[in-house]
Amino acid sequence: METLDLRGEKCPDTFVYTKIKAEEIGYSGGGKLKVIVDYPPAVESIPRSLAQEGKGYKVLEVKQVAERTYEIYIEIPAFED
Amino acid sequence: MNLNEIKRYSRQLILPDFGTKEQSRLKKAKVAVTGAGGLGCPVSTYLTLAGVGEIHIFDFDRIEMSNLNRQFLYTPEDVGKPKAEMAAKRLSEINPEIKIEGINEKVTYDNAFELLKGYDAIVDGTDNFAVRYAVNDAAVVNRVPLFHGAALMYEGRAMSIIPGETACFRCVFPEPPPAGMIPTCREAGILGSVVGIVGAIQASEAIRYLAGLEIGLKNQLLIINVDEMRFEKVRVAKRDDCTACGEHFIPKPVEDVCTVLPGSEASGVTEGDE
Repeated sequence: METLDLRGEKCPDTFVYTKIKAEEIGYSGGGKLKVIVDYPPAVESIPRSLAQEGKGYKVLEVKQVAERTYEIYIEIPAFED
Repeated sequence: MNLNEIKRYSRQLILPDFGTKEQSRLKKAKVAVTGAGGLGCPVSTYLTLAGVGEIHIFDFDRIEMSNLNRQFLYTPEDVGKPKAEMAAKRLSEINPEIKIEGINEKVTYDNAFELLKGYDAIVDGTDNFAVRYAVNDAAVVNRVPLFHGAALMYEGRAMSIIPGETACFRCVFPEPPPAGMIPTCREAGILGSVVGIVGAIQASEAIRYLAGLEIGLKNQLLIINVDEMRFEKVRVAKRDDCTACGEHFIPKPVEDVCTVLPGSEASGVTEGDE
């Protein structure tokens, strides 16, 4: 599983980098991605924005691992083309 | 995509139907913009900002003081300088990640077919019928999608032409109006924001098309009336007997009658324009 460490980033950049990485995984056959953030609003906005993409992203789990550190686990399907 | 590109395009990359694949399609695209005037300025600016990889701007005019109410890429110090070159220079400063070339050449019926070959799209910002028909016929024959726009006074028009699929400009307007029927820009006037609206619409259509997204002005002529702020779409249809895109192509140069279509101000095509 790939990990994207976005500690220090705020919205909407947290989503910009998540989306770019998710597409990279999707266009190369799909897989899972762990995103680490320390900006609390991103914990809600990343899953919401992923859902709006309509690409079949699935948020498997959102875990708080430290006082201000969260891990978001995303399943990414294989994209066509 | 390098980090600069990710940051530069981040606000469009997070659009739900737009992503890295769409952005890379834009980067691979080569687009011709005919005219660097009232329409050419917003068109080429938005194509530049969006990250179209290669933009060729055709115009042979020089910058005049009277251009400056709408042609925002130029300053008073630029008066007398060639538009295509100055536009390319300014736009290259705005986005150094892409390739922009200013081509100081007059587009005519004789050279359009050769000049406008090998592009992924043409966005038309010409200001007279001779060149507008030349650009249409060249686009259709070379099978290059054409994004038409025109503006005059408080009115504008736009239409997207996909050769082999949609109506072309000549399907809708087989002949130009008689000389003298339509006033010129100089006589009728134009507001900068009106060409801005039309140019932004042409650029939006071209960008979405190049990115592989659906567009809204196929077989539709958009008519904009800014004094009442009315926007209407009129359905248009491809004609089998069209001399440009019908069964048999017939070259049909249109004489330059020094007029502009209601809606068509731009630049770089008629000598002595403005």
